[in-house]
Amino acid sequence: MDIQLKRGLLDVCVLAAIKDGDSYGYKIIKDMKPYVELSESTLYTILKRLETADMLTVRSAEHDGRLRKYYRITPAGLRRIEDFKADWQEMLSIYRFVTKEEDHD
Amino acid sequence: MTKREFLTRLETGLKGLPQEDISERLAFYAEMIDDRMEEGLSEEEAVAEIGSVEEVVSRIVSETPLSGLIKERMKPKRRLTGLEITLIVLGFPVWFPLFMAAFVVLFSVYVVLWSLVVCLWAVGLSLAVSALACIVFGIFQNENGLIETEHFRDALHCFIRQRSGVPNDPCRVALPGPIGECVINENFGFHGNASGFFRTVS
Repeated sequence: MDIQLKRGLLDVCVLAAIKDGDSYGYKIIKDMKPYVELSESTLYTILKRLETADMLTVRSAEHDGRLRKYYRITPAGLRRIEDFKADWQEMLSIYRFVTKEEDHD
Repeated sequence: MTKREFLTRLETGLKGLPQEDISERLAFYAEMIDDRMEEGLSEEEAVAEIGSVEEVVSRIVSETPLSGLIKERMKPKRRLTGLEITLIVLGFPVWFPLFMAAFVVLFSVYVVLWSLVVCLWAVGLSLAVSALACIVFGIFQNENGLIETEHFRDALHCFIRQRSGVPNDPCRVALPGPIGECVINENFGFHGNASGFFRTVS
């Protein structure tokens, strides 16, 4: 997949993974695994980017004697998910147009 | 590979990135490995799932904006620690005299060089002066090369008489020398022309 496109989509995926409650790094990867492969370094970059965009917040909490980072979605993050869902219709149209051309070959 | 090995290698591979970034990423990966181990994976398996260090490093580097890398390279790598500052202050009585000594040595070398220049000038000047003296005294020297003080005295008396305004009293002073006999008359003067100064008597 086009890297730029994927990058934007993965952002939304991560947001969706924390939409229903606080989550942490490895859990996000696990939750996404059935749908999409995500590597640690990619996740790190996405989390950093979303934090800068104020779409999620980070806090450190103790877990089993070590510190773990928990991520929580913000209203801006929720809006991003809604925008994505709204964009989907347009994406479908584009897809239809692109595949329509192939049929008339 | 153990978790510690992986993290150490990762840290080495990330050298050149901003320090805060490196620490954050190391913490992130450490957490990832720990989480996996909690799920039941062994340390080896957890590390293996993350991928090879090279892969991780290249992915991180490619994602780091160039400005961050450049900024890190530009930062002064060593800042003076408090300990170093204290040592410098305490060692002042030691290094300062050494520093001053070196400075004085260099300065004296500089002075020596200049004095050489002055010497050369002095030599040149003295040569010029002695040449001039030779020319002047050559007039008064006899065949032996000695200045005949008598002649010189006569010439001087003449000169004084002339200057004190005794009119028309040309002194004829026979001054032997390469120019021949000289007459000192009213034209004698330091501002007179050369022929007036020494007019040869033919």
